[in-house]
Amino acid sequence: MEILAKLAFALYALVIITGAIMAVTAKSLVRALVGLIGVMIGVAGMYLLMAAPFVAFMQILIYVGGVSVLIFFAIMLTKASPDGDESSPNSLRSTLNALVAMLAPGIILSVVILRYPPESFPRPTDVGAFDLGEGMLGPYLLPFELISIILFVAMAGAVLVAWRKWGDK
Amino acid sequence: MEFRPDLIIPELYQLLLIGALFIQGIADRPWMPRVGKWLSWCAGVGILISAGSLDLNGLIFVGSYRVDTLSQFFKFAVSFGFAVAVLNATRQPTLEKEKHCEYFMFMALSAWGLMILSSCVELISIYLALELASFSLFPLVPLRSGEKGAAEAAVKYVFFGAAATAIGLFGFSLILASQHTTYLIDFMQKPWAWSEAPMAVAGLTLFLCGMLFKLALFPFHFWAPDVYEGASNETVAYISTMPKLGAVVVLIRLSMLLKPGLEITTILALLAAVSITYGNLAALIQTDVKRLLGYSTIAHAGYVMVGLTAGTTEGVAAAAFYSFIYVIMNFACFWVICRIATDGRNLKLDDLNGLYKRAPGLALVLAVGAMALVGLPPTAGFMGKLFLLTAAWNHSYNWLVVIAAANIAISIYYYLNLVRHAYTKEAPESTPTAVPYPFFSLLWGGLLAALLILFGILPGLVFKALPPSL
Repeated sequence: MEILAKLAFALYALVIITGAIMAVTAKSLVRALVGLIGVMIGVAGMYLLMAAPFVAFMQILIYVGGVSVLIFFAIMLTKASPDGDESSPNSLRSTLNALVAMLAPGIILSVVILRYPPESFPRPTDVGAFDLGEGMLGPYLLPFELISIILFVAMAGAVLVAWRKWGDK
Repeated sequence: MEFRPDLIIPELYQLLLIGALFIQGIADRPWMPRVGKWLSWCAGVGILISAGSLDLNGLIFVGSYRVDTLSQFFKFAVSFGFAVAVLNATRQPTLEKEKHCEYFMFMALSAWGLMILSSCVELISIYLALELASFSLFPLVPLRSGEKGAAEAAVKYVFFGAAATAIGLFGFSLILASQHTTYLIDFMQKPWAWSEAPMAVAGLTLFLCGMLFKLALFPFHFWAPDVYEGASNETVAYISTMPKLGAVVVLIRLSMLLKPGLEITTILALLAAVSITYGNLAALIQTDVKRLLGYSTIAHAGYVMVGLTAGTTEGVAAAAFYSFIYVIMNFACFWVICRIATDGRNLKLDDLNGLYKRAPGLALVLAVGAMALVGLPPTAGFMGKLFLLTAAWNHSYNWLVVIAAANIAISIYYYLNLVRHAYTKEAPESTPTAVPYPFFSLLWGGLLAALLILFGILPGLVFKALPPSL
């Protein structure tokens, strides 16, 4: 079981990393979106490994099923062409800068976590929908309610910014 | 644990205002009275309500929401700042008439987020309340009509804000993974030194990055001058003061963990020193008044951190006092700027020339505000800086106090430059001889200046509302 879990972890990590590289480097936005979907599926796999099947299914349902379709619509509606300003190749300098910016926190954090592994359970305990519900209406009631207001702000803000005057054609 | 609605009356009142603004905003025809009229009165009532609830005490929402003297003081400061901001923005020249309701609704939502934030004692609630406060500000920036820079400022604000949010959330996940709790009260029993809990320290550092971004502390300051330049004067008056209150209250809550000697405290002290120096030096060469005040915000964020790194109750009280005073003095300066820029343009320093002749009252308010920002007696800015530095001396890092004191001398130049332009330079012939301003604008501006002098002479008035022990 141990080895299987490690294999599964490696597989999901590979899916996530490939998807992420694809999302960043792809010339076409739709291909980048496909990479992003790959990342989301890989993350859902990670949730399954942590014995949180409910969260994993929600990840697939909401992100893979919902959010990515929304992004796809946004791409279609904005007519983003693959040869816009951003499509010019990056200079070596900015690529190097980006690599350093990516590697520095990654290396620091991985060294910290590998050298001082946090206390954790030898085997993950199941977190089902019931436990989540208990948490959200128990100790995490306030954040649970706050999220809904933040969503309202995000939507109303988007409407306000995109809004034209009454009768303005 | 029972839920007590009487503990959250200021928040409920603010929510009522938000609801009213929302309804008026979606109405199919313009409703009377106009939003600017009734809202400034209602926000004034809000100040009274939060002043009346200063003494409340309790713990609700399963221990994640603490109502205590600290939170009530900051709620009072927020409702005061909100009322001034509303009053300041009612005659905003660059805002389309149809969007007034929504503008104020988002401003009220942001203030509401800050109110909730000041009571949160649980990390994810803190995080979400802070996001509510800053998300609500994103739509305000691009609402400045007829200005190309506004869109650029909005895009910068949103993207940098989103990145800071993501970093903060990542840090949160590391904290949760290593400490297994999100309640601040449980954090007290956990180790926060690098040798004992390196992952938690790394997580807290990342989480603080998100907070310091809101505070515009160096090196998370880069967005501030650009955003301030692009957004309208009235919006900047709000953005440059109120979210700082929220960041300060979070840092005060976290300062229970940050004892001098810990690695995080040293990093924060270092950042404070760099922030003060950088903000002041960069402000020296600015000619745009809003950009100048933007850099001064960076320096002031550093001053507040000086008190917080002390880790004593005096330091925390000094930081709370200073952030309240900062709200008043910043609003006093912006009040004058917004009145002078009658068409909503960005003011240059030269636009202030000869102000003493054109608008003597406003020039006086500006002089008091600028002197308070420097920290000259008898203004409240002097008392605030005095308390900060004395609280930090021998408790925090003495080199930091020395740097902060030296920087006050540097900052005299550019703050008093505002006054110099207003008083000693003559206006060119082409400018109109008098700034048209109604009686009320002078009255409220004068009130802000009077408060600055009053709290400078009697700082005890504010300290009485502050907690004796945190």
